[in-house]
Amino acid sequence: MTANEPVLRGAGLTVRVEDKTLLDSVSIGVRGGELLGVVGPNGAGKTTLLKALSGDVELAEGAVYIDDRLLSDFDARELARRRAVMPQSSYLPFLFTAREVVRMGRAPWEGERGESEHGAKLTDYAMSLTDTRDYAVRAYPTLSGGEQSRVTLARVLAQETPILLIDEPTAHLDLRHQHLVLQLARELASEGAAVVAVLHDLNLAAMYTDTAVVLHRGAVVANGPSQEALHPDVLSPVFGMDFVLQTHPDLERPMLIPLPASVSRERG
Amino acid sequence: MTSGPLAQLRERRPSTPPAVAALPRWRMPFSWTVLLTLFLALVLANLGLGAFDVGVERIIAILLGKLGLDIGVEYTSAEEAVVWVIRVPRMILAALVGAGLGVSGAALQGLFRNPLADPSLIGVSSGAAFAVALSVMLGLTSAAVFIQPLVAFVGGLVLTLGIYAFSRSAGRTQMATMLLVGIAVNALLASAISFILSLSDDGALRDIVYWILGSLGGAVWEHAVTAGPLILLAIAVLVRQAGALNLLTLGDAEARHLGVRVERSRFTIVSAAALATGAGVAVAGVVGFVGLVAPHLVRLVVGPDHRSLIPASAVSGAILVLGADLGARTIVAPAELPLGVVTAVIGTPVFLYLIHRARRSLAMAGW
Repeated sequence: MTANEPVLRGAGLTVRVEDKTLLDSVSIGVRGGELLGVVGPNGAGKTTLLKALSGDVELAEGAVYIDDRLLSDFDARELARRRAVMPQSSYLPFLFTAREVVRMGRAPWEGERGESEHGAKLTDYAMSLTDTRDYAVRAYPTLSGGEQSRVTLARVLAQETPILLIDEPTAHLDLRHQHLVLQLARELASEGAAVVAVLHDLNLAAMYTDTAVVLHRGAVVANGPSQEALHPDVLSPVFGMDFVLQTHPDLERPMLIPLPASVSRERG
Repeated sequence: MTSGPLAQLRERRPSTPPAVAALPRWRMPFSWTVLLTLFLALVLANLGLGAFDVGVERIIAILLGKLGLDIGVEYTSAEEAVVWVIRVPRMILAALVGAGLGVSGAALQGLFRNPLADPSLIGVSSGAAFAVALSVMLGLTSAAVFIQPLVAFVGGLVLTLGIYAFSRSAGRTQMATMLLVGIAVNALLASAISFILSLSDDGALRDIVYWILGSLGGAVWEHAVTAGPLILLAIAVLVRQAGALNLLTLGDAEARHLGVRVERSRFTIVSAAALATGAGVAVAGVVGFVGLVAPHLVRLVVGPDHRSLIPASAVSGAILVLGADLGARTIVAPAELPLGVVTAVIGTPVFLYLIHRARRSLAMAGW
């Protein structure tokens, strides 16, 4: 396998629930060092795609490969060392402290030599990266939604995998933390990780991702470098809204400014 | 040592300051000291107190005498018989039945991700009770020490496995489904048992009700040495599953992504809980509340981590049943109270107190 091959690949992924097709032969791949954003309106199949990639839903057709090996050929622990999945929200009925939750991310490495020390260091480091160390000993269920999702992100980071699947990591976060999280995803990609992130905010996707997949009604509408895939020509019909394309004043990055329907009509 | 993206990032961009707040270090040793002291005190009380009391130094002398050691304390042969033949096996069974129920409760609360789960949810107790009621009504019981426990044990395990199998679909077991199936089956069997009772004559009625209410009055060494190893085996299995249980509290998908073979762990946990509970129910009848309350009592002091919660629940379960059995045979001596009644009378107020105390954090936890 060469360095430029995708480490995670979904081929012809199709998910059906009863007779409704949630995902219609979607093929995507992500390489080491790449941050891939998955965008689309509500119900487009973003979360379903992430679940298909992580093996959480049954595929009607298609297959997922990690390092060209079928996902189902992996042993659970082996897979957990290769790939981590961050869920949209994580409910916990018992009063584990935030630090205990983050430490659970080290479970796949338990039993390795030097793990108790190394694991503790990485746990602390993941907590400082996600700005969660202030409530290390607070009970997870008593944290706010945004705090919980950053603790969950820290848990996923502590797992120390080269492949990361994250579902709307910014959903409950304030502006600063939204950027902190994507900055982090960016940095991990620079260290060689392959990251797939479902994102709601088009501008976050435009600012940070290398590549993007635009989903609409379960199918891929665009798939390629973010600058091309996140273009008003692609996004307008998908979101049913017009956008003005600008460039970020300080970064060589596109900014998408949505136009309200009334303005669009005036412009004709 | 691992060296993935995060470790590399840490090399390049170390964080400051290094220390993260930690829980006080004295808590664990302190909690364990309290638990073990209480346990030992109750062991001695159960051996010493009763129709006639035997002093601590005499109990120790009798026990060591059995090992061939003479520590120079005099005791009568009547005392020796009461302690060794009657009280020791009963004490061992009380401790083991309680430990098994406590551990099963802790494991099932984690597995169902529900602090209100209890070993009876998976149908062991009602399956055992139904099997015993049926066999008594059909006149299948015999005086042999082993028949009734065997019927109860098999009845409990069969029902649990049935509920488990029914809750499976497409290779995965839905815990929510299992919870509902368990509740429905428990309700059905409760009616079936009542129906059997209505058909039974006075003798059978007494037998069944006495068994359902739970008692260690029939405890003999034979029970201790057969049920004991099964319960200890189940406890050992559940202690080994403690790490997986921690991850399962995050949810099935999360546990799988953290490397747990979810289906396998789940089957192991349900089977071990059924074994611990089933073996206990077989020799002691239905002993309620211990499986529910024991884990809650210790969760407050050792925390939710199953690696300490499971062993601590074994000790707190043992403490509860030792205490309850001591009460059962001394409060109205020379008569005995049903053990299940005593555990319910102790368990309910304790549980209500715990809920009252924990209400604030529970409300924040979303229920």
